Amino acid sequence: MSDGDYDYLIKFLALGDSGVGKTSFLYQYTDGKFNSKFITTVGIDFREKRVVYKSSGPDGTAGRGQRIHLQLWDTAGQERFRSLTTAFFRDAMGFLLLFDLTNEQSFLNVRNWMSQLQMHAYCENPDIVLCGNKSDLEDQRAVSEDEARELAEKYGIPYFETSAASGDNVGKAVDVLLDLIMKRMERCVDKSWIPDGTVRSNGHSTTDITESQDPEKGKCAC
Amino acid sequence: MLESSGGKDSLCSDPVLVFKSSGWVDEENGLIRQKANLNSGETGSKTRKATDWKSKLESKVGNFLVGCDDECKMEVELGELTDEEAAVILDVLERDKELQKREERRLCQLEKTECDPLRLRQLSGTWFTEERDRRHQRGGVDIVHSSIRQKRCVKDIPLTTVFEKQTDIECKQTAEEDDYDRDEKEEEDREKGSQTRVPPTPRPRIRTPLQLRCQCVDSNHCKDANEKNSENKVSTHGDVSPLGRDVEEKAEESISDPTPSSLQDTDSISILELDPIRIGSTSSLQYNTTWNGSVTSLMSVGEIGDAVVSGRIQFSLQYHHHKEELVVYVYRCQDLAQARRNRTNPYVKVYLLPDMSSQSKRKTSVKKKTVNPIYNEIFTYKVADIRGRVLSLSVWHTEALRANVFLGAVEAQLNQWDWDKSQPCWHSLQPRFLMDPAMGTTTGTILLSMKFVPPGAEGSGLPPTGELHIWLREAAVISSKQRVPSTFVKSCVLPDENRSSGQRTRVVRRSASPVFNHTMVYDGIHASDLTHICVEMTVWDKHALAAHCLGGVRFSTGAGVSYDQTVLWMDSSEEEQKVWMAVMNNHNRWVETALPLRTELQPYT
Repeated sequence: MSDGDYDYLIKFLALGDSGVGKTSFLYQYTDGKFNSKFITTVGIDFREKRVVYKSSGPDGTAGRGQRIHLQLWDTAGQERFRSLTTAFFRDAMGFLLLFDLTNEQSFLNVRNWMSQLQMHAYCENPDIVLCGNKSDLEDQRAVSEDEARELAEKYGIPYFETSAASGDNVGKAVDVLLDLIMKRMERCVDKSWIPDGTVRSNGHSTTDITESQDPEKGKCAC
Repeated sequence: MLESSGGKDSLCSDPVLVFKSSGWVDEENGLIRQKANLNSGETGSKTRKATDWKSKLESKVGNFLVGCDDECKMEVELGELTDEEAAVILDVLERDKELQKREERRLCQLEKTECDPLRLRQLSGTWFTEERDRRHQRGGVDIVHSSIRQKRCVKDIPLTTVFEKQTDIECKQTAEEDDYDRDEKEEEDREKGSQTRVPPTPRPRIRTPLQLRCQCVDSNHCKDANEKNSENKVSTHGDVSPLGRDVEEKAEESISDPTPSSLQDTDSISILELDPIRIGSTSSLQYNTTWNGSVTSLMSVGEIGDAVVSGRIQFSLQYHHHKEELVVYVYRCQDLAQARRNRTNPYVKVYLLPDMSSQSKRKTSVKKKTVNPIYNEIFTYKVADIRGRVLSLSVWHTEALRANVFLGAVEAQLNQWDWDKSQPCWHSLQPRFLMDPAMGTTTGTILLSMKFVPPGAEGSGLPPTGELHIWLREAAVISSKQRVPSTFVKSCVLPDENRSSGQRTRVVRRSASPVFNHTMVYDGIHASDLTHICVEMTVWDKHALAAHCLGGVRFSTGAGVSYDQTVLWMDSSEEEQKVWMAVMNNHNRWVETALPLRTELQPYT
């Protein structure tokens, strides 16, 4: 893993309120393990994983397997690290925005996180996947699937109900995000502008994540 | 502003300022400087309070935007990181650097083998970095890395030689933390009657026992003083210095050694020489002239070749009545003098006079090598009544192994402050500070209300004779690091031939702002008497054996004549006269006042 034996270095970043499960989510993804003890992240951390990505082209044919080295940034949710963690937003290609299904406030703060991303990320409409974590704690659920899905749709981003404890949908969420990045990259390099309103192959339109409709934002600026 | 203020971890809109607060009495508000409890299960509650407080403050200072850019904001916030946290984060950044290095090696190879430029863009991640660079000047990792490194800048002096058996990181910590404490101690050493100059030694990071610390020339005297001092040791509460250094400072306080005729409080003047040996008798109201002399001779603080004071300081004040809180926002300084060898490492020290004990002292962080430091720091004082208070802001230069250099000061008379102006304003730095003794108002303030009740004014023939009511509320008295006085107040109505009119309050122990809430009533007074009499209130500091007068006020017409006799004690100041006139002309109505204590009250005869 420590050698340069891969095709792409892709950087993701997990963000969200303190305690929603970002660290556990990433740990589950990279190591397949779960530790229920809560240890707050000091500012910032990252994990790495090597995966193989197979794109599924529009014509349905499977592409060649690409070796991806994933660098997964894990940010502290605590307020006191805020300006430090937002500084790292600009270094990530894609984002996993997590909230806690058993904590309504963390869900309400998704809006704030989205606007933070819009401000600090590398571009105004980065690729984001929304995750409602702790789906295993069904009896403590405070956010309904419907309302979360509704919010995700409003932003035009995929939504998954995940559980870092059981591993449910963790891999799926990251895979989808990776897919978004790779597709964006391919589009960029192709230099073919996709007009706004076109539904992308992964199911949502190119309208940007913010509520304001700005036609400029749909374009990739490569 | 906050979208939702209730729940945990409310996310503020882009934080502009991260404040350091000191002087909060309750523990919880020290949270901003709390070391991160890395295993804490608590998530929301502590951080939420920081947000609430900050947002309240933001709205109160009128959303004053500092105009920092991202990096500036970060620098301010990183000031909050503990050294352990900074180390942890640097480790992470090191790992990232390793990963980046490997990536660069890979890209090097790739550039040689890959012919297709488009594919190269993909594989190298250039598609991403180009887009990012359009928006942001520097990479996130870069910014954080340099910010943390800056914060942990190591001193020139090879401390590894001084602090044995410590790791590098510990050394760096020591360097920064000991800065403040070392210079405090050195000031004391230096000011010891300017006798044999004991060269300051860097203090190792261990608590030294009392005896070792004593570097007095006269060791016998020192021992006595130390013993006395341990009696008078002030146990202060609340964080008084930034970055959690209060522990160090407290240790410093408890092992400092006082000598009578020298400055005790470090780089500020101890106006009150709290010498238990020099006792004022209960009837003496005059001050020892040597006292005044020693103060003026020590007015210029610092070594020979002091910096010529220049520059200005920008700050703002707010007072919140309902919270009884004074908020001091120290923004920045400009054009400070070069302190030594063309180098200035300035910090600002704030006192809410007349209290000069550690409870009143606040210090900003030190900004290295700049004559235009930006602090953005906020200090708060819990004070019920700001009338008569003076806020002193002084700028000092600090460097290792040397005494501080005074760079200038301003004093704000809070009586005359324009509280409507919430924006920070510039004030030129003055070459001296701490209430020039020539002005004669140095030791404190007294707050009281008075009224004259004519006979029968209360109905049913009561009171039978005219009465003078003096409702003494509280006082603010001079305090220093070594002594916070235990005070009582005496009242007396002159002329008082047989010394029978004296009344006194109880003693309020060890408080720089004693609250008495004591009413003295004098009866048998006619309205016609009012022009002839003088009400004298004096504030005393009770020592073990006797009391020491801190000063007082006298209310009279100031005419100098009482019952056709020329008297010396009708020496009311203009303000005191005004108050008395108001009492005379407003029967049965309280007249409230806050006045500075005068120390030059004329003796009775």
